[in-house]
Amino acid sequence: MKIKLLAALLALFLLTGCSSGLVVNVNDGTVNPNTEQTEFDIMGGMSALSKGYDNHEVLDSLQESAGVKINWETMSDSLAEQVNIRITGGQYPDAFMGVGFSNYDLARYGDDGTFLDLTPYLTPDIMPNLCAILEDHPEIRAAVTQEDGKIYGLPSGEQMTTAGIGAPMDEAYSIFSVPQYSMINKAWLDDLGLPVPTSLDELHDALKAFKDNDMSAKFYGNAPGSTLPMTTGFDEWCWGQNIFYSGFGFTNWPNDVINDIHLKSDGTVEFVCASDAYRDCLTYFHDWYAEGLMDVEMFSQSDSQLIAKCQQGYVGVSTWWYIEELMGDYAKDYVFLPPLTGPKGTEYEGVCGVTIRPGSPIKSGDLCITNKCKSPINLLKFFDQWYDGETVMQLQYGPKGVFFTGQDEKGMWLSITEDEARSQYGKSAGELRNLYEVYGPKLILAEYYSGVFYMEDRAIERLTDLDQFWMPYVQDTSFYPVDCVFTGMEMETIDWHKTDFEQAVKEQEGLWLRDGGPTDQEWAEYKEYLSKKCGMDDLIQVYQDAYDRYSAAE
Amino acid sequence: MAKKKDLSTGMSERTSDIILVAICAVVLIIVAYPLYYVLVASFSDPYEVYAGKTFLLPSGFTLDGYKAVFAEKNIVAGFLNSVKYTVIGTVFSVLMLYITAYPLAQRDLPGRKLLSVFFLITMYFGGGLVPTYLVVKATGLTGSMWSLFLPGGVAVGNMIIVRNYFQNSIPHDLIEASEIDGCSKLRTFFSVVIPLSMPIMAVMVVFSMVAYWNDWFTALIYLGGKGTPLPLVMRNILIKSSASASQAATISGGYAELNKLTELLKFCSMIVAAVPMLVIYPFVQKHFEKGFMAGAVKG
Repeated sequence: MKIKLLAALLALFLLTGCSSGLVVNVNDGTVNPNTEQTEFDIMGGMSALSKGYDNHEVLDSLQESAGVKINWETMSDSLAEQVNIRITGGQYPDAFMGVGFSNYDLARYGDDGTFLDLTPYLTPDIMPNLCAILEDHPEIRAAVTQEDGKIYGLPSGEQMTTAGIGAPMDEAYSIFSVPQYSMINKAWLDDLGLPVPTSLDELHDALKAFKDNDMSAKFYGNAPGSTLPMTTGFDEWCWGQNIFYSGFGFTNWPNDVINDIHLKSDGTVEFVCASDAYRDCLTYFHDWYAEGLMDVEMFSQSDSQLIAKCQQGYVGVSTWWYIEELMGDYAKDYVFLPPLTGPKGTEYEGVCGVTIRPGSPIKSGDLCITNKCKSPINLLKFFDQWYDGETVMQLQYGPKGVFFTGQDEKGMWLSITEDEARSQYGKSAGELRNLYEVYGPKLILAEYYSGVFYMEDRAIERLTDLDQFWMPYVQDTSFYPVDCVFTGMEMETIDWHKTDFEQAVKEQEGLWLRDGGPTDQEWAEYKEYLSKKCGMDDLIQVYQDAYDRYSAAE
Repeated sequence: MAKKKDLSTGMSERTSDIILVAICAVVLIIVAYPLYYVLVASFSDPYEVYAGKTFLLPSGFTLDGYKAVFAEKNIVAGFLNSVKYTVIGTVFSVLMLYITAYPLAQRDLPGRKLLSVFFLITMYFGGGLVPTYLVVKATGLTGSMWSLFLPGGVAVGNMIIVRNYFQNSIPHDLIEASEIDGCSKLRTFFSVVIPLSMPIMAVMVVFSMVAYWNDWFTALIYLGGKGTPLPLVMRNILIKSSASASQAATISGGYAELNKLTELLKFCSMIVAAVPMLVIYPFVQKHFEKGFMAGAVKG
């Protein structure tokens, strides 16, 4: 009896295990000529503030002109879990949109045949708009092509660069080039009779003066002892301490490729976290931390806590995207604090000073067609319409007549102003945009900002600051390209080591800042640990090889 | 004389009362203040909260958080769903506990050891998210309310507590007496065991109720967006309002403002989700104390 029951249970497990194993490899490089299917299921991500994709003016008109009907299954959170479960369970739709698959995922699902290879479909017959773009921008094609020459997803990306404010296209820099803008309370400096610092040592003295005079209490009437001479996050995106490291010849911004990577102008790849400058830097800043000039909460605070402190007028020096946003009512007292010279003067400047980050990458994980789709041609015709400036503009911001109010004499589309949005829709322009934005393969080229529509005001402000104030401090504009394509083996290496490596570096960086810089022995052990346990040498090799192939292709 | 001696060496009853009350008051403050703080914070400007300006009274009074929470039209539906899941789930769970724990408490049950081990294994080993999902999917439960109850039908830890209660707190003699008086097994269960086990039932009702009320993950995985319970609605409101700092360049309203609402919503949704439980708790509390002590001995 017992045995029968066990056998029955076992059989049940086996049955349920088998039902998901049906995968057919269809990536043989030919076009599936079937055009019968006109109704498709698409699953994907959506802004949580979106009104949904059913009855969406822009999407509806695109479906109509392509003669297809799409059943949207969208979600704004926990997308990754849901998608993984659905693919594992074999219950996936005709396409995934706005999921943001990594290159690793794409290779995996492409290899097992879940995702279709789109290379044969990229012809002027099926996708005229996209083909025209790829013709003009071979680098976009290179970025979405896997190492085996296949393309598993349509390209997406937003090239928000200084080209949008008039810089020449080939000298344009991404809005993400310098993520942290440092700022200092000029009113406090004036009150103390100090100039805006030009070197780290001068900044040190200024911070000390802020602290000794308890400027927050003295100048703004806050509680005694509330002055925080300097507060930032720790290795955070736009609110980290990394900009101050530039005095030592590097800035290890959080990086999409891998943290602490640096491409020297001669084309060799290194990790700054293993350089002598890095060691000197941490030793130097530990003194600041020990003297109480850097906030003790810098390692633990959230961006909300940082904003809270700054808006109370407690803070002398911090970093953020915009002064107004961080400092609130006190913003008028602050000025940008330029990158500062290090204690060894110009000795490090030959290295690189402020380094820049790559812009946002061209990705191919935002539209993938699966092997459930019977007529990829019909679906791709629908998506080809997305590769048109005026269409993608409406998918990003909102329809003409709602978000875009008209064209100026140059034919550029004008966005709704904040006041108009408030009076007509009772929402801020940002909320209005969130209502209509569609997540998916949106490729917003830099040239659209000078030929199709104007960039948002805040982006223009940020880019102007970047162009006028920060870029002049950047001596070496080389950066590791985020579009490098890796082989399967290389991706395995990265996947295996990257997290451990970044974690080990960050943890040690924090410890040295807090407890005092490395002794010779600690430094040697650290470098050995990175090489032996975290695969630093393998990683350098991988990134160097990938870069060499990338630059050879250019 | 002996009594007098006691008084002179020990503390007077009054003093010890004062000390005990003082200790209890400190404990009460330690436990209650965080909750009170959340309540105050839900009415305050979050940046003033983070700057350490709130202590006993709201600072920068605002109702924006509650406005945003109650502006969400799903909140009533979410509340009703949660009530439904909590009621049905609690009844189901307690039923399952009784029909598993009572047989296992019978010493003459054949294969009792084996069955106990069978239950115990599930406490220590799980299949992991994806395999569990696949099993639930294969049974066709996904999208149905029952996917919330059936997969974890018997809470084994609770089952052991109930079983011990049956074994230790209901005298075996009483059961025998009722059988001698002519009760069938079922009659004994319904007329003797159930009335005598009310305290432990109350505990199990509270345990299951809290668990089902707070559960959002199961609903997220199995329900596929239909019949969303309150905690999940809350979570969606929170996510809806949150933005990451890397979007700061392109959010036209400004990150600091948007983030302010997010932080405020965290406090408000805690309060909104906790209030129903706080309201119900006093009514079951008296059973709770009795029953919790009764089932406390494991083994």
